[in-house]
Amino acid sequence: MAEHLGTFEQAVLLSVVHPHTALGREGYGRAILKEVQHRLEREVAAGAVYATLDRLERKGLISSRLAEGSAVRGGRPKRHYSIEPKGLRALHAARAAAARLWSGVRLPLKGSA
Amino acid sequence: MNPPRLSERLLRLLLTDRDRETITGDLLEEYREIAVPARGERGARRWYRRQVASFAWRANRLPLVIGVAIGMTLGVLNLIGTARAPLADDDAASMLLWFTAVIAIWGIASVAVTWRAPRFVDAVKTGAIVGVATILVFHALSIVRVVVFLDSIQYRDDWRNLVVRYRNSGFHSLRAFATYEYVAMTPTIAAIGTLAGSASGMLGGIVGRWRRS
Repeated sequence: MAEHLGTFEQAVLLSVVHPHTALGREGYGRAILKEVQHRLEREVAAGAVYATLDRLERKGLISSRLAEGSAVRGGRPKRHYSIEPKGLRALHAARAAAARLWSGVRLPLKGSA
Repeated sequence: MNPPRLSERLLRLLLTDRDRETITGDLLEEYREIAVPARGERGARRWYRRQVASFAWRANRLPLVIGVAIGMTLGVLNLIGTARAPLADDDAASMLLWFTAVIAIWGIASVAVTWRAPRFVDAVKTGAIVGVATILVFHALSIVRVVVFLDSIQYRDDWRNLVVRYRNSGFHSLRAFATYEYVAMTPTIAAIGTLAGSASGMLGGIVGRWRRS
């Protein structure tokens, strides 16, 4: 059975697997942070994204590797993330669950009031 | 252009060895490339501090919540006890039992929070946070107790010294004086909570090490 994903976890995973921005395509921590902000259209605390990346990695949904850092970051290394098959399955399951949830609902929604 | 030094040191302390260089590097890059040009140096420093605060909250929210819950429980029990018997003195045996129970709960909390990744330093840090949160919440509720039950508890034996100090203080209200004294004690109380919590965390850390070995 695929791992259950929250909305924020989905945003982070989608930012890893299908980035929209040029920076996002670089796939390291800061790039994913910017990509998540771009997707959610709001400011997101860095701590939230790194904590989620850590959790997803512990669950085996993503993996990471270190790469050399540039001068602008004081030579400190970058951690690049990539999706694992388990992460892809979890995203597909989340998409399917949302589709099931919304199936048969006509838009725009009309309230009873 | 460097981020505030103290905040960066705090961030390095909060991060694990694995993430220390990569995450501080990411934030340094964002600070130099985006935050300073977009917000100016002052705004960028504020932005950096906010990011560090977000790490601090995420790293410590569990011990904070546990500490606040323990402090609330003890504080409310203290309020109920005072409402039922405002003039009852605290006997040595019950005080000893109370302190032992609190130290044990802090130690258990340290072990529980660091159960999955037992590191001695994390257990001590957890104990300190649980301890200071417990003590501060309990202290705040003690101030509420003073304000609410002052009319009766001022006649307790253990209040004699405070009442004498009030008479020599020049204050016009015992309630204001007692509140002032309790508030003035807060830094000392926080330090005691931190030290006692750290000691409990050390016990938790020893259990963690024993479990690992």
